[in-house]
Amino acid sequence: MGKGKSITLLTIVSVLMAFILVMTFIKFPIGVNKQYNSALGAIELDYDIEGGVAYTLSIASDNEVEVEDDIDGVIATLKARLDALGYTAYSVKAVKSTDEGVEDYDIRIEVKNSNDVAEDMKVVAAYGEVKFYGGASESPTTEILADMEVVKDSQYLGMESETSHVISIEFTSEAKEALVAAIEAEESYYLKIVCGETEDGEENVLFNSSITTSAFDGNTLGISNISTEDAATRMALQMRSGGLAYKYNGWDEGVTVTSPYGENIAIKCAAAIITLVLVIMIALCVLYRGLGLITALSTLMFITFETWLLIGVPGIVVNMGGVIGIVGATVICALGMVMLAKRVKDEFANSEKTAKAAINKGFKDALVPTIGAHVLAGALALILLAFTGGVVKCFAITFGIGVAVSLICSLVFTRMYTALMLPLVKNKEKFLSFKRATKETPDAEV
Amino acid sequence: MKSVMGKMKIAIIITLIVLVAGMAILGVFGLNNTVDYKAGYELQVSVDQSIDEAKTILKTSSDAFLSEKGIKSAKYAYQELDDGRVLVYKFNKDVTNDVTGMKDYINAALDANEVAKGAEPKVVVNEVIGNKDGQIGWIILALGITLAVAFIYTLIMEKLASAVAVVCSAIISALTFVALTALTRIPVANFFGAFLGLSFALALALSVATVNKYKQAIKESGKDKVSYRAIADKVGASDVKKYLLTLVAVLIAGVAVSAFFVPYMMIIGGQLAIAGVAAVFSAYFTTPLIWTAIKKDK
Repeated sequence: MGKGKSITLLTIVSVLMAFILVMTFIKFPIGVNKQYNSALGAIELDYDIEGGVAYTLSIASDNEVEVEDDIDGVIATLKARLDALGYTAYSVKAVKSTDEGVEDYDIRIEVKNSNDVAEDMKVVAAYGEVKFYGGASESPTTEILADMEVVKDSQYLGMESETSHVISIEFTSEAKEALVAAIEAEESYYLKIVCGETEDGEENVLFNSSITTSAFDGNTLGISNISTEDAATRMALQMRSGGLAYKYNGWDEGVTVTSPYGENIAIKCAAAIITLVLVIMIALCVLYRGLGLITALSTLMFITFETWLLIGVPGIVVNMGGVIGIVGATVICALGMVMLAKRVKDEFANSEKTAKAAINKGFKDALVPTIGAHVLAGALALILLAFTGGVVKCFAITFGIGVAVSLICSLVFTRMYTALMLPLVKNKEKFLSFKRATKETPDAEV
Repeated sequence: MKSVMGKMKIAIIITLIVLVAGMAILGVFGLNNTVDYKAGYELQVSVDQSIDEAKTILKTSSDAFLSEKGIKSAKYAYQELDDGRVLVYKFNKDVTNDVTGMKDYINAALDANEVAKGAEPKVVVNEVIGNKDGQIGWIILALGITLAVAFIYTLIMEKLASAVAVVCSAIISALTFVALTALTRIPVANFFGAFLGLSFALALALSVATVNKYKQAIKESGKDKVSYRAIADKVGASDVKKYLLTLVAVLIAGVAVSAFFVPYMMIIGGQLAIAGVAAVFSAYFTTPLIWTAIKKDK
């Protein structure tokens, strides 16, 4: 590549990178009342980093069944429901005053605040069994399918249209037979499914409509016309898990809660990661000089692109596991850059090749171990993503994204910067701090 | 400076001591969970009015009372609810008797303020059943599957000795991380699995890069008779910078995270450092040890 072309392209790349860096890390006002919060500020954070909302559930005065030693079971049920509703970082604790005479535990749930959290808490703390009512008239009041296990499973299936979401209810064979027999006994049949009560003391109706035997696919009944995906997910969860065996109040009174890790955790985590990246960049420059500068610029691109992907990839909510994943990916990136720089330097040192030839051979030799290290790290991320949840799942997501970006930066952007910068340098060996290995000369024989 | 193979005896002794001691402590005492992940106590201090002055006085007088009495909460565990109207201090032990008089102390501070006068404080000590993280089984399963993938990948790319060396390095790294965490009694929370995965991944990456260098070195030696031990020494000497830089990067990350002196962040920084040390130490010594042991010198 000619010198003029190099200068032009390097200038363009530098201006673009400077612009992207500003957009990634810098907040600034736009106009009179608006503020640009930077890509970093746009990353969605979970409850354990930015705080959220806390609900304290207390046993209702009209609760019929004593909780006694089943508090662990209650906590486990609540956690399973929070997992099913997609919450990753949350806290569920049972608290009981040490004052004398206090027998029952309160449950404190801390989750990320969102528009749906109030509705979700209704489902999480819902009380009562799922009951089925059927008959020839609308809103039937005759209970059916009592004294048997009715629902085997219930899942959210998908979207029919923007305002119609579908769930499936898989009945047990016994329940399905009984229901089909009841439907066939009437000309038209109405089914009502209820789970406990609302806060007003009214029935919590999950389904109330006419059905025919043709609505069944095997043992599965599909229910459609549910207005939103979140409502459908909640209904499927309630069908599947029913209500708690104990009645709790307080699921409608959320208060703010700070992060369990301390104040301004997000800023501190960001500062720590930026410090790490800067230290890595300086270390690379000191150890490998010109080649270190090239790899340092690639490392800078890595952290920039990882930040943008955290907001670009939908559904990523970063918790502390995610922060650990970003740190881990940064270390893997540094390792990849060191492998590349070392291979290139060793190639020049141990051969008679020119700087350019040594670079080409070094990059080629470093390809296999660099890809190997990244592939195995990425495999771990994918496998953890498949088998785990919560903060470890977020670690897997950010670590996996980071490893993929690191591989691209190691293989593509280091080559790009090498191709752009070398034509501008007169003494390539000096710039890259290349030295030939000294060969040991044998002692002369006397 | 001694070669990597020359330091092997010391490395094996250190690893064995850490593993045996760590696993013994793990077996007897288990891991030291943070107060959010085990049974403990919390002190809830609240005021019945949401006036800013009342909330500020509540915080300052609560901190002052606890400081005067020498009551140290599990310092990393403090939260505020309802925009500061309710303060929660977390403890490993029952502090009911220790906080006698706290309500009157806070009341006096509130009454001394014109705006906050009349606000009524409440002091309650709660017994807490903490969160339980039930994921460790799934994490171990995921690591096991990754080991199988790593073995097959390295077997195809590098051959059997390298594959076994890589797998052993990752296993030793994970075990060393757990042992060191048990030994140092650093509190663990729900992100313990993430650090375990990180230590494992770092050891795999370092080890894979090293065994590739062994292959390269064998190729470069051509027809010269060079022992596998000599190759391991040569690669170990040339790779020491890579290992040191990885270790320094992780330690810097640990220090950067801990630098704000927020207790939970110091726990995270400490675990990060342990994960890095375990990965680098294990990969640096286990890889050549297993590789040379399997490859018999002719």
